Amino acid sequence: MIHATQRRKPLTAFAAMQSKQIATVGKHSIAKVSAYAVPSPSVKGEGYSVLQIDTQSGVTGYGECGPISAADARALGSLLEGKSAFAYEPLSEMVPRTARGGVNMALLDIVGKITNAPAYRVLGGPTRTKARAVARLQGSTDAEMISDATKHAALGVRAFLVPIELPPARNQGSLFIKTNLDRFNAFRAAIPKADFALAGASQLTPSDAASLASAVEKGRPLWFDQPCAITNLDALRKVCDETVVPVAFGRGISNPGTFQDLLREGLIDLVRPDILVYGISGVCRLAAMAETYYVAVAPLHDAGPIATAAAIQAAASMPNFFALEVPEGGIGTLKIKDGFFELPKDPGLGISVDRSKFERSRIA
Amino acid sequence: MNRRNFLGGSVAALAMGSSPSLNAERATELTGEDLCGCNPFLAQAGRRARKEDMFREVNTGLRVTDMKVFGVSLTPDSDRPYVFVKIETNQGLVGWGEATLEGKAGAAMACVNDFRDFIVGKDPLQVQHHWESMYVHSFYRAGPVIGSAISGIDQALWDIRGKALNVPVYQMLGGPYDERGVRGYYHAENARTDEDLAKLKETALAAGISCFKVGLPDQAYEWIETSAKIDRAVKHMQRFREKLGDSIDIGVDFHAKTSPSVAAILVKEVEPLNLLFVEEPCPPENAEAMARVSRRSTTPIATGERLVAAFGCRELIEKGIVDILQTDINHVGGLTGLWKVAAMANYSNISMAPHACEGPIGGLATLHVDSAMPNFLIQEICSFAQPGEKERVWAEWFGFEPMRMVNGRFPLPTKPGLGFELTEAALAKYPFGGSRPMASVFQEDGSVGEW
Repeated sequence: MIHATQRRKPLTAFAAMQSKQIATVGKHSIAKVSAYAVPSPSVKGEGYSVLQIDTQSGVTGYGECGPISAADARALGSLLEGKSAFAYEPLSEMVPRTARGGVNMALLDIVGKITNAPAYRVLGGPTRTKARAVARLQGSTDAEMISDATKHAALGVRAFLVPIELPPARNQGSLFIKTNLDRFNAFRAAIPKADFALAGASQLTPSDAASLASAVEKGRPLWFDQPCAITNLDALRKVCDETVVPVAFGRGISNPGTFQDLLREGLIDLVRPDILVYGISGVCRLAAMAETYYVAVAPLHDAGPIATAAAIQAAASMPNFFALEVPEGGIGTLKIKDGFFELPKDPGLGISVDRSKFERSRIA
Repeated sequence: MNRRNFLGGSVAALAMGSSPSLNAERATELTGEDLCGCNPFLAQAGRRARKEDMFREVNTGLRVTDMKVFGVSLTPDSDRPYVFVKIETNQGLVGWGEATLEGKAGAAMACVNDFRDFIVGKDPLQVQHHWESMYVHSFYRAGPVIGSAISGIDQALWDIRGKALNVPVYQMLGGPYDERGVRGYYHAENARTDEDLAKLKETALAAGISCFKVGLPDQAYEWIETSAKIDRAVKHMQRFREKLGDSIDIGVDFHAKTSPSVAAILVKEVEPLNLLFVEEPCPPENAEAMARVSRRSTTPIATGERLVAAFGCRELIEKGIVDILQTDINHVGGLTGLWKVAAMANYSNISMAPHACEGPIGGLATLHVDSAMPNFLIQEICSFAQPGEKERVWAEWFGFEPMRMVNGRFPLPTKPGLGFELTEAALAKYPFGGSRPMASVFQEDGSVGEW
C-alpha cells in the first residue's frame, strides 16, 4: 500500500510529501509572506527579522525570528503561500529552522484573529492571570547597571538578571568570587524588594560556576543563568552537585533532545527555550516535557516586543511558566505591573504592531 | 448564535445551587485550626474572594452551569459500558466527553461526579488550567479512575472551546499534518480460516485499508512457556503475514498475557515477519521489564494504553524504551494529556498509535490530536472491517458513521468542536446495565493469568 512504502522513505522526502497534503483550500489560505530587518538597539551589526503573513481573507499575523536573508524570506513565501493558515504545526516544521519560531507566532496570531480570541485561548489557556517579568541589566559598571535596574523598577519590574563579572582567566579564586558576591549584595541593597538571577553567559568553567554559585547561595538568587557552556553532561553535574542554586540553560540549544538529556539527568531547574527557534507551540511542547520533571520554563529571545507578546501567550498556555525577559528595545504596547506582564486581551498575539517602524527595512 | 458573545467581557458570577465554598466554611468551622498544614480549605478560606475573582480581568462570559455523567450499555450485559460526560454552559453551548473505563464504569462515573463542584461555575475555555487543577489538586496522583474522569471532562471542555471559537478542534491544535485524514487500522481476530483471511485481504486492498491488528491464539500464557505454545503463537503470526501479504501492515497485541521472558522469545522469533509492532509484550508497571523485551529484538514494541498522563510515560520516553506509544484519550487525560504525551514522545522519536477500544466520543476526539502530531503513526479502532451492531448504534446516535475509514483513513471531523451532535434522548435507549465484572482468566493449574 501507499502508506507502507511512504512511511519508510527518508525523512526529507516524507516532509515534502506531507507538505503537499496540507490544506490549500479556504479563504484563510496564506497569500503573502513579508520580512523586515530590524537592527539590535545595542549591538551594531546584530538584529532580528519581523515576519508578516497575510491571508486571502485579509488577516495579518506577525512574528519575529533571528536575522534571515532576503533569499530565505522569498523561499518562505513559496513554501507557505496557498497553505491553510490554521495548520501552524506542520507549517512551522516545514520552514527552515531560522524562521520557524517567527512563522509559528505569525500563524497563531492569525488563528487567534480569525477565532476572535487571544492565542492562549486557542491553546486552552489562560493558565495564569499574568506573567512574571525579568529584566537583563545593561551597563558596563555596577553603577550603570543599578541605574538601569532602578529605571526598570519604576516600570514595575521586580526581578533582574545580573551579568556576572568574568574572571580574567580560568579557575580564578578569591577576587573573582568576592567581586561578584559584592556586586550581588550591592544590587540587593540598592533595590531591596527585588529578586536577582545571575547571568553567566556560558563563559565560566563548571568549577568556577560551582564556586560562585556556592558563594552566592545564601543570598538566594532566583537562578543561575547559563552558568557554563553545555559540554558533556557529567561535567555540568559539578554545578548542580556542589550547590542548590537553581540552574538554567537554553541559549543556543536548537536541538530539543538536549533539554531532554538535561532534564533526565537532573541538570536543569529552569528550561529556557529560545522562542525565535521553537515558536509558541514548540515552547509549550517543551513545557509539557519539563512538567514531568517538575521543572519550569522561562522562554528567552533576542528580538523585540512581538516575540515577547508571543512568549506571554505561551506563558498563559502552559502550567509551568516562571518568567520572561523584558526586551531590550522596549515593550511596545505591552504593560508591566507589580513585577508581571499583563495578559493581553485582544485576539491573536494581543498587540497592535506599528509597521511604520520597520516598513522601510523590508527585505521581502 | 454569535460566537463573539462567548468571548465577550466578563459577566456577573452565576448563582449556583451547590457552592464548594459552603463546604469550605463548614470545614473551617469544624477543624478550627490547621494542625498539620494539610487542610487546603483553611488556606483557601482567607483567599476565597481573590481566588474567585482571579481571572476576572481576562475571562469570558461563558460559564459551566452543569455537568452530567451517563452510563451507557449497548446491551444490558455489556462488559464495556460507555461513560459519557456532558458539560452545559450558560450560553447554550454543550460539550461531550468520554470517561469509559473497562470494568470500573461505576468508579469512573463517581469520580466524574467528584469533580462536579469543581467544574460548575468555571470558564470552560481554560482547559489547560482546569486539567492542571484536577490533576494536581486531587493530591493523590491520577491512576486509571481519576485519569478517565479527567479525560471525560477534558474532552467535553475541548468540544465546547471548539464550538465557541467556531473551529474543529484539530485546527486549534495546529493540524492537520495530512488533510486526507488519519490513517487507521481495524481488528482482524474474526478472520479465523484461510478463506476468511483471503477475503479480508481482498476487502482491504479494495477499501485502501493498510493495516490490521490481531491477538495471540491462546487465552493465557504461563511465566515460562512450553515449546508447543510458543510454536502455536509463532505460527499464528506467520499465518497472518503469509495470507495478508507484505503490503498490509500487521500489529500483534500480546495484551500483556506474556511475561517478559516469554515475550522476548516470541518477538525475536517473529522478527522475519517485520510486524508493524508487538503491543504490550508484558504488563505496564515496570518500564525496565519492558526494556528487557525491547532490547532483545528488532521487532518494534508498542505500549501505553494503561498509562495515565505524561508523567506515566516519562520513563519509557526518556530511556527510549519503546518504539510506539499507545496512550488512550479516555484514560491518559483527554486531548490535553494525549497531546502532551505525543509532544514528549517526539523528543525521543517515538511514534504515536493511540489506543481506542471504547466509545465513539473518545474515538473522534483522538482523531483531532492525531492529525496535529508530528510523530503520528496509526490510529486504532476496536472494530472489524465489516461494521456490526455497535457501529449501527453509533451511526444512530451521530447521524453519520463515526470511526469508519474511507480509503484507509478516518476522515477528519469538519464541524466545530469535536465534530458531532449528540442528545441525551439518543442515549436513553441504552441505559446503564452495571459495571459488569471483567474477564477472569486462569492457568491450567488454576492460578491467575493475565488476559
